[in-house]
Amino acid sequence: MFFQLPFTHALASHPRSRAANLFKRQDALLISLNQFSKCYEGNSGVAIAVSQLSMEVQPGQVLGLVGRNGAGKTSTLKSIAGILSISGGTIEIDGFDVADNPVDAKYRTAYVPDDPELFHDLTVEQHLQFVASVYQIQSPGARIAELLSDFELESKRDSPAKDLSRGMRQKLAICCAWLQSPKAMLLDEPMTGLDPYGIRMLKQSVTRQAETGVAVIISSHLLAMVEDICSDILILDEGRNKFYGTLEQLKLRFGNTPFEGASNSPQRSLEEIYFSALN
Amino acid sequence: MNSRITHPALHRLLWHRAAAKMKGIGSRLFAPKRWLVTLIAFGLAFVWLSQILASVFLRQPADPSLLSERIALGMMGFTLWQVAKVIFRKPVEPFEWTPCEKQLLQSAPIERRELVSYRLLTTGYSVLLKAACFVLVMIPDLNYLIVGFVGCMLGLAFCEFAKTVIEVVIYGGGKRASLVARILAGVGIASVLVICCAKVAGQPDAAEMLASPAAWKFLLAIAYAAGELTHSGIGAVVAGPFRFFSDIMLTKSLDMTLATNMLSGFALTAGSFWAALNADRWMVGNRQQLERQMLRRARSSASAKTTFSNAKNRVVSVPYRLGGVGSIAWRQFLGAWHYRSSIFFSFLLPVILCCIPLFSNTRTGASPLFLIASVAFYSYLLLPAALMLDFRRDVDRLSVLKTLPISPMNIVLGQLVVPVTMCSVFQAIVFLISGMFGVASAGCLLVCWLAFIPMNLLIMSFENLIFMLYPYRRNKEGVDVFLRTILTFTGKGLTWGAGAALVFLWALACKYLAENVFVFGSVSPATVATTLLVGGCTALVLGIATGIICLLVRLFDRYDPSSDAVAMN
Repeated sequence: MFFQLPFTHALASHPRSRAANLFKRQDALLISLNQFSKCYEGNSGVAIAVSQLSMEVQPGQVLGLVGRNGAGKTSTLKSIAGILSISGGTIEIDGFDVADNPVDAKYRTAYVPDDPELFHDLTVEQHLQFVASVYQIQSPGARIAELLSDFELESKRDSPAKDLSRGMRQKLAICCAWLQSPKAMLLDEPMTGLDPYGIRMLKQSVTRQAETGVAVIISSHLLAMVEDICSDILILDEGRNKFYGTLEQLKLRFGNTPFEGASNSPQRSLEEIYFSALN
Repeated sequence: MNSRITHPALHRLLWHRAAAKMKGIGSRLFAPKRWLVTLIAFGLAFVWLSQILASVFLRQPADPSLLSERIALGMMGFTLWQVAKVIFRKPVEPFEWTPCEKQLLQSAPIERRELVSYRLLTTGYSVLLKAACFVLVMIPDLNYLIVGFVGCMLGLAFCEFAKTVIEVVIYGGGKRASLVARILAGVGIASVLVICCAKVAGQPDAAEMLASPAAWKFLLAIAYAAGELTHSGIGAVVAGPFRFFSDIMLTKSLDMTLATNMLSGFALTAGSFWAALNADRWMVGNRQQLERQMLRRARSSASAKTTFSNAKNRVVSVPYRLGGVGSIAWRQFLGAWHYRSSIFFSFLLPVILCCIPLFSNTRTGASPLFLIASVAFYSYLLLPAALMLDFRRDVDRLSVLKTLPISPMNIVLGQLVVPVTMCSVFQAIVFLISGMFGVASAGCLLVCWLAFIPMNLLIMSFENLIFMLYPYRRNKEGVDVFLRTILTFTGKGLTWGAGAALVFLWALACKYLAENVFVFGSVSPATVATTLLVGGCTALVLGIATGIICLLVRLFDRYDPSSDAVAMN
């Protein structure tokens, strides 16, 4: 059974939700998880990383995925991206089931991992050419040049990936994701290693992408960033849905919940609200 | 679903990576920092090529029918060995995708079938090189070089694809399938061994064969007996496909028989390729089902855990720090404990091989020497590959090790403790069994065991030195790995030969010294000579081991992750 979103009004009130409203239709769900579960078999038995998670992300919606370490955020994103198999339930991207129609679903998805692994022997440009070839992008030269310029990678165009710094690798992974025109974007801790300019570029470009109708899920521990660019938030706790709604709804629900170490300020920050939600 | 074999983007990727790899090998070989390694590599390559040229130009062609039989047997043996390895050491996952391939390729809109084809084709490229080398060695025996090359390539590709099929099936079948495969393989191997041993034991010169150095005559007889088994009903079926490839290679004329064999060979290779693709499709579906069953069981059972609830309230501590040596060794020991069953099976074969001469009825004065030679030979040849509990296991953690507040010398010593100890345990087991069979006195065996400890230190530090000179990933395949393996084995063979020659010369010197220089009235010259031999060898081995350890420390200290790190993918 789908988790129904009772927050249409609140969604419209958020500045970042204008894009979402533009694309809102009854059937316009871009990312849809229905009772999704993921388990792993380890030496100490079976561990359930995500349990019966249901959620929907509409075009233009920017969803912040937050939770403790090991809450199941990366497992969720990797399963949506088709990297991990699905133990239970279904995941659909633009109506295509990730398990049954993986190629169609992946054509509509871009995934930026938390620690980008690149082909060490390929140059920056070769990576982008490879991605263009995979996604069958015709004449990608101009787009590649634009992305390299935006993310300050022009001087590294012919450098092999093994010579790039952590931040540059992150930028290249973002460029690879941005090169195609995805309908769903999955970003796992995308700010890691980025310099202030890169962070600003990323934020702006996520907002721009959302305005063109892309559904975005960002997993992050940087709550200020989540507050800044996300219209909705999903808090995962031990693989379960602790809260799913708009930031306003989150504030309404947990804004006054007491917890150890809470400040007396009437205007609680998202960080404090997050702690209230998890306590 | 489309009908193409691989995605065009993957062709582009293969091309880019092959070009970059060649460039990388070239730049690493000619880097000023590595001039010594390059020099050694070129020296070894020269030796290897000389051996090959000598074998090509100086030997007579072998008997074609016998050679054909042996090639088929060799291919079958290689495939069965690979299959047994897969069965007894279940793969973590088939195809071993690198982290990069997982992230970039598995999230890309490329069909799984195309990805598997890509992986199989990358295996195919290394097969090309192997086939080229093999054909080079076989020049005197081949009537048509191109045909020989094609036959060899098809045969090797068939072996690789067949191995992949088994790997995928074992992984996809889950625990039960793995257990059944192990039981079947175990029973099969034991049956073949029992039959072969019974055949060889029935031969009149069995006792003499058992007593040969490292039991090599006995092992050879077993191999012949196993070869003869391929003429039996089941054996002929198993060996049958491999005969097509050897017949293609050694064809005498371009006739209809060759055409038929070629067709059969192509059909077999293409069939195994197709089987690998389908096995993978089955594996994905089956794993999915198993995962869903696992989830259902986990939900219904009381032991269902979330990722947060499996922390144990157990305090773990490092027993002895010893300036960091203890901490590093303790970590490697935990790894050894984790892989205890694999290590046990890795020990089993060398222990059995070393103990084969003990079954001989005839004991001569040379028996203890044969035993010591066997232990040294197997310790040098088999154990280093089985005991990768040192730097070779830490290829991705070398940078982390460098950040530890432990001196490089202590890190190196800490890394060597576990493999050296386990090597010594292996030797202790063999000597203990030998003592029970009365091969030599307990005192003699104890002295030998103690003398082997520096030898183990030398073997393991030498292995680590090779690794640090040119870091590599354990399960990687490719042109560079192939070249490195050839050069490493050539180098090992040369050093083993040089070591044996040195010991021989020292033994002669000891005899001379005992008879002419160190003459004591009360002590026999034989005792003096033995003492000099053991003491001298031990001192020499210790000296070389110390030198190698110092080199290893220097290399580790100067290790620069930016230029020395292996390509991760």
